[in-house]
Order: sequence, then C-alpha cells, then structure tokens
Amino acid sequence: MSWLAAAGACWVGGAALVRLLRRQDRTAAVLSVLTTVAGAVGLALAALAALGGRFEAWQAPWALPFGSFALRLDPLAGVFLLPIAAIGALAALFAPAYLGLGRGPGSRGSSLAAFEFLLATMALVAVAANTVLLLMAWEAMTIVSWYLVAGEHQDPEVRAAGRNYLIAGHVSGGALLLLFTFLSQTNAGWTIPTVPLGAAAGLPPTALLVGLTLVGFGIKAAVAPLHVWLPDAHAAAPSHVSALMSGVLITLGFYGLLRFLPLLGPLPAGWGMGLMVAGGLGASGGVVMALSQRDVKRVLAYSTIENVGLVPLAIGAALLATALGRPMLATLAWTAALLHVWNHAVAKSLLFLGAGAIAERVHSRDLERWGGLLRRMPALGTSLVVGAAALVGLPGTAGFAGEWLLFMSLFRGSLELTGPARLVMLLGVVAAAFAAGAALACFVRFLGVGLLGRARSREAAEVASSGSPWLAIPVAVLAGLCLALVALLRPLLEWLAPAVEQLAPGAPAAALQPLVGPLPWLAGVLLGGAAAVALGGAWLRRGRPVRSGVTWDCGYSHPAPAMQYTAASVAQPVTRVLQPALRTAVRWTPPRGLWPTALHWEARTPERALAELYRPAFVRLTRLLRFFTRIQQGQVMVYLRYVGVALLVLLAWLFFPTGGPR
Amino acid sequence: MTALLSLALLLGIAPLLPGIAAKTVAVLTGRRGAPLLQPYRDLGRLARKGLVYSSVTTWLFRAAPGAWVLTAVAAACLVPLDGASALVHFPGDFLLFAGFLALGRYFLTLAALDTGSSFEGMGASRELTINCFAEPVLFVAFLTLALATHGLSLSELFGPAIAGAWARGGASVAMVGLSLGLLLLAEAARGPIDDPATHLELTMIHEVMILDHSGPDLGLLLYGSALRFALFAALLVDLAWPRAGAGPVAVAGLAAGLVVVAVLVGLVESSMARLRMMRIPQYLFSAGVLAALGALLMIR
Repeated sequence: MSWLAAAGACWVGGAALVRLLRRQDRTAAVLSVLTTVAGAVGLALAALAALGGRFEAWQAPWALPFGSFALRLDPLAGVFLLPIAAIGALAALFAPAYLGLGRGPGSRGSSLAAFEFLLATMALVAVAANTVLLLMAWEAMTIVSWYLVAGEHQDPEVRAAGRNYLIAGHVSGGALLLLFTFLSQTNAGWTIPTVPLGAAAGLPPTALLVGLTLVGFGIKAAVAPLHVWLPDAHAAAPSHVSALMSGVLITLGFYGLLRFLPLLGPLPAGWGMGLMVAGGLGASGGVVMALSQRDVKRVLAYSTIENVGLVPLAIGAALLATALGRPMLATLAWTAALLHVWNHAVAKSLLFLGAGAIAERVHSRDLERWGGLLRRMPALGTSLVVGAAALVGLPGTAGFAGEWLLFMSLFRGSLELTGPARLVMLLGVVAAAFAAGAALACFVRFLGVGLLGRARSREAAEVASSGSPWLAIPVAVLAGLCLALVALLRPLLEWLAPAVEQLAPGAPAAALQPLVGPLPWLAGVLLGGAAAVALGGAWLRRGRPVRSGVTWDCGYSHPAPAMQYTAASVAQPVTRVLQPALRTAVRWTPPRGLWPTALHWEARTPERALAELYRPAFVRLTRLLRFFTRIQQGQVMVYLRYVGVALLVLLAWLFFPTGGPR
Repeated sequence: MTALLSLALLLGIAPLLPGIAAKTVAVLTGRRGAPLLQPYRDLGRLARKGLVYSSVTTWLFRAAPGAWVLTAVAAACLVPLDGASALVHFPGDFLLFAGFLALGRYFLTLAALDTGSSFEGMGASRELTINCFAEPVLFVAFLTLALATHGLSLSELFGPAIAGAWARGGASVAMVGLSLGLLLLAEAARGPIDDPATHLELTMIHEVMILDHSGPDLGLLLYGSALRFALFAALLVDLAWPRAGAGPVAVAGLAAGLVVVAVLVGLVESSMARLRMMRIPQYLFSAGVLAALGALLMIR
C-alpha cells in the first residue's frame, strides 16, 4: 500500500509540477519522464505484491456522506495495475520525443501533465474500494482522456471524435451511477462488496443490475455493439495516448466487469451465452473492419475491437461454465481472459507507438502514402513485425499463449457441455478462428503495404531514419516483451492464479500449469530452428553468386512505386465477399473515350452500427426531448431566475408548519 | 521409433507428391509428362544456382524461405504420421499445428509484398483471402474430430481413437475427411483452387508469390510447399486408415497412402477447371458446412 501511495504521489505531484513548469519546455519533459517512470516502478512493485496473493485495504474518513475513502489492493486489481505501470512508463518515455516532432512546443507540457494525471486516475479506478470513489475516478479518467483525445481541436474530425467519446463516457457514467445507487441499498453500502450479494433485500431484479454493469463498463471496454466511439477516438488521439487508451484504459472496463459480475451472484447461463455472442460478433466484425481501413490508426483501432472481442468471449465462456458447474473450464476461460488482457496491452501499445512514430515522420496516417519504411527504419519496423505477429497470435509470441487458452476453453466447452451452451461454444470456435485468419490478412496488409515495397509518397521516400532513439527504444522494449512473455508463461500463470481464484473461488488454477505443455519453450525452439535454417541456408548459398536486381515485373524493367498493389486492392477479395455485411461503398468513374485521361476509384467502409443504429436513435431522442430546450436555453438570466425560484421554494418549505427539517 | 521413421519418410517423400500429381494429370490428358523424380532434380538444380535479390527487398524476403520450411517441419512433428502418436504431443497441439502453418504464411505473404511487385501483391492478397476462410474450416474439422474421439491432441484426433470414431459415427468422420480433402486442395495450392501448371501470372495464387525468389531460396519454398501438401495428405491417410501399432507396416502405409492421395489430387485436377477467384470462398464455405454437419451429427 505504501508503494501505491508513493506511485500516486509521484504521478499527481509530477502532473502538477509539469503543468506549472510547462513554459520551460525541456525541464517539463525531463521532469514528466522521471516522475512517470518513478511512479510506474512504485505501482509495479505494489501490483507484483498483490499478484503474489496479498490483500491490502486502507481507509480514511472523508467529508462526503458516502462511506469512507477506501482503497483495496488485491490480485484482481494487480492484474490491471501492472499494464498501467509498464505501458505508462514506456509511453511516457516515448511521449516527449513524439510530441516534439510535428507540433509546436507550446502545448507539450500540458499534454504531458494530463497524461501523467490520466495514469493516476486509471490506477485509482483499479484500487478504489468505495463505489463513489470509483465513480469519481472513472469520470476523471474519462474527462482527462477526453482532454488528450481532443488535444488537436482545430481539426473538426478530432472535435467530433472527442464529442462522441464524451457522450459514450457519460452514458457509461450514468449507468454506473444507477448501478452503484442500487448496490448501496445492500449491507455493504457504498463499499464494493467482496462476497456475492446473493438475494439481498431491496435490490432490483438481477437482470437490471447485470444490464447496467454491462452497459456501464462495456462501453469503456468497447464490447460490440457499444464500440462506436472507439475508432474515431483512437485515431484522433496522439499516439502515446492511443497506445495507453487502446492497450490499457479500455481494459479497465473489463476490470469493472470482472469486479462486479461475480458479485451479482451465480448468473443464469443465458448471460454467459449473450456475452459470448457479443464477443464473437465484435471479434469477427472488428477484424474485417480493420482489414478495410486505410487510416493506419483506424486499422489498429478496429483491431482493438477484435482483440477486446476475444476477452468477452472468454469471460462469457467462464460465466457459462460457472453457471453449469464446470470449475476447471471456468478457470481456463478466466485465465484466458486475463492473459489476453496482458498480451493485448503489450502488443497493441507497441503498434500504436510504432505506427505513431512513423506517421509523424511521414506526415500521414494514410497506408497508401507509406511504404518502403522497413529498409529505412530497421529497428522500428522489425519491432512492428514482431508486435503484429503477437496480435495475430502467431506461435513464439505472447499472443499465441492467450489465444491458445481461449481456444482450449472453447474446445473443452464444446466437448463437455450439452445443449445450447455447446452450440454457443461451437460458434465461438468458428468466430475466433475466422478472426484469427482475418487478423493475419489484416496485419500482413498493414505491414506489407505500410512498411514494405517501395515508398508510396514523396514524404515516405524522404524519411531517412526513425529519428530520435526515444521513439524506437520503447517500441523495441515492447517487442522484446512480446517474445519474452511466452517464455515466461509458467510464472505468468502463477501470477494470475490468485486473481483467478478470486474470480472463481475454489478454482483449480494450479491445474493449468501442466496443461500448457511445451508452449513456454516454443520461442526458444523456433529461434533455434531459425538459427539452424539460417546456417543451412548459408551453407546452401556458399560460393554462389548473389546479385541485386530490380523486382521482376513481367519483363517490364522499370517498375514504379505506383504500380504496387495498394492497401485497398489487398483487402478487396475479402471485402467483396463480405459486401452484404460490410456495405463497402465504391465510387468508380471508368475511363472514357479513345484516349482516356482520368479515372477514379474509391472504396469506403462505413461504421454501420453508428450510421444505422445510434445516429437514428439519437436523432429520435433529440426530437423526443426537444421540450427541454425550452427550459434550458443557455441564457444566464433564465438560469438565475431558476436559482431564485428554487430558493423561494426552499424558503417556503423551511417555514411550512408540518414538513421541512427541524 | 516409428514416429521418427515416418517423419523422415515424410520429409524425404514430400517432393515426390507434386510429381505424382503432375504425372497423373499428364497420363490422363494423353501426354507422357515429366519423370516422377523431376521435383528432386529441380531442387538439386536450384540448390546449385546463384541468387538474385531485388534491391527493394529487406530481411523479411531473405527469411521467408527458411521460415516456410521450418514451420512446415515443426507442424510435421505434431502430426501422428504413423497413425499412433506424434513426436511431440500434448493437449491443444492442434492449435500449434494451425499456428505454425499461419506463421509460415505470415512470412511468405510479407515476403511477397516486400518485393513491391503488383503480381506478388496480388498473390499475397489471394492467399490471405483463402486463409481467412480456410482457417475456420480447419478448426471446425478438428472440433468434429475432437467430438468424435474425445481427444484434444492431434495424436488423439488422428491416432488410434479414430477406429472407434469410425464405428461410432462413421458418417461424421467421412464428412471431416471430405472437408479436409477439400481443404488440402486449397492449402497446398492445387486445382481447382490454384493451378500449379499455369504460366500466366494473373491466374496464379501461390506461384506468383514466389516469382522473385531464386536459386536455393526458391528450392526451399518449393520444398516447403511440397511438405504442406504431404502434411495434409498424411492427415487424410490417418483418417482413412487407422493403423496404430502396425509397426513398420504403418510407416509403409503412410508412403502408400501419400501416393494414393497424390494420384487422387491429380485426378481432381485433370477432371475439373479452375474455380473463379470469387468462387473460392463459397468452396471453402461448403467445406466448412460439411465439417460442421459432421459435428452436428456427432452431438445430436
């Protein structure tokens, strides 16, 4: 707990100092890095102690009428604190160099300070033991991250993204406010309970509570179909903020689900199935959307929807297994969910940082304007190749272990369960397998078009190197983590075991260790094999002439960059097959006449949930609530009048003979 | 022991399979065709040649041929080639099998895009499309077999338990076999999905991705592709002929079975034209439905 306090002091104090010293640009930057890293070390130590199975609680009275200022550090919180510390520190190392690239130095200090404060609010969300404190931290987290998302507010697209994010955040906050008010009716009051509530008196039906939990936390976790705010927000934010938001912040939504869903008692199997269906849809839909995007950060944002779709798939499977009394299966699925959270944090923040650094150098987030960058930025590019492999879940990387556990729980579920539960498990296998296959296509397209081949624009051709080493180093560290995490699979499972036992009391978490078989040695075996193949290849090539030539293009010896396959054309076969679901709109002006000069082809894949579900709904809602615009019309005079009327009414109530306070 | 022997046999015999398929097509179309051992001669010739690298390419292009072979060999270690048990087996190894194949494909398609050639980009795009729709088919096929054998390792799915599965739900196993057969044609880039004999870049899928590789690198790629063909053929042989404990006969059976599968592939190739690119997802979808029907029959 003292480490936690130290981390909090470092971050909040650091944020305040950096904000104060923002005019001394260099000092502020150095200070922000130092305080963030120091706080991250403290938080990591606290998280590791918690992961070791230590439960700590601390409370102090506060002036608010809702319980007390209570913190609790337990293994489940530790699972989510560790990525906050690790990714926070690496992103903070990256941020000053990144913010110094294109923008003027003016706003750097404020942005760095907000980033540091965001880390503190995120940590507070994970350790708050009082629902009001949790809600305050939650709202602070939303508002600070909104400030960072909408930082470049001169751009109307960024403003729109910020507005959508804020609306989603408020809907989430509103749902949580209702949920916590209902929960405060129980004995626990405003304290987050530690044991399932059961059928406590005065609680509304469980379905309502579960629904509020799913909406409140599901929006932040971008569980489909509540994901619509995410692609715009992640694309608009500066890259180190996108990395933190996409890799860590949204997983705090899962923290909420994991904290509150088990409290709402043994849930009927239907909830697990519903969550699995939502997860499967999110995973397969997100990856196909990612495949059809042109904006680099939107590709990554939609890939996040895919990845965070796999987590509810696992959570749903765990809930289903718990409902049907299969503790081993539930353990497997809970572990899969938690491990996936870690893997996603590492790999996705890697890609956002790396892609952000490149986008700033190339001055474009358009895949079609990148190209030929692996040659010029070998360290950054190679890290991206590793990170993408981890996101696809290829063997030898951390991602594989997570997907392996997920598939194992789905397969075991299909074998062990019966009836509709088994059918949902079968469908889960199909959805996850399709997502895995399409993720391969998505990231090969991302790397192949973005980094390989020849430069597709003048800016990309002029980039000589990745610039400041502070951009490449955090990304390379994350790439190393992607490879190391799978070798550390056994210790990782040991760390996750107390948290899993917390989620499913009496879970045989230790039984997972022998299950993973030789997976931890996989990276080593593959590296050894690669070394052997490299030696063998060198032996095969010994003494052979090695020449360098042009790429063979059907005998045409002057291939131009514009003749390369484009991102749109790589994706086209898949998007065309899935046209009924995707509704990709193509504008095609064919060449005309004998000597055609101009032709035009453009494909755009819309966000259908936003266009067909939310926009009509919100338009209708606006029409419905138009009455209130008469009351709230934005004139200070009117509001003053309301205050006056309210005061008069209160005064009358005070002197009313029967009612009123004593 | 038989596991090691059959792995050695598979690694040795793999290049023969495309040769047998080509010979079958040649005989059926009234030609004499290339000698059966032509693939080995090609490999030998390529091994003695020099290399040309496009100046556009990076380390990925140089790493891909090795990765293509390495992942195929690693996947082969997980398959019970003697019908009993694989060299390495543990619950969930079928996911590793699929993962190795995907890792190889990751490198191969990245190497294709590395050249900056529009033809190779086209090949990569097509390969990735096929992979998108083939991956669920493979998983559903494994799932059906898992339901039939109650195992979670390839050595159980395709091992001794398969005899019992035939007895309990022969129809399901047959459907999986057919589905895996359809998948083999897609994964090994054979007709009617791909045409290994074509010489027009626009109609190629697998071949067009390796246009820029030369010398020993090209040899490795050809060998890796032959290995993938042999791997899927071996799965089919295991499925069709449960022969655990047969000792040397099981190893010889693998060889005979692989030859039979190669002849069958040649029969298919000579009897039907290539599918249009847009038909391929439908083809794979039918393969998936077939395997899923098998699963439904199993759990009914």
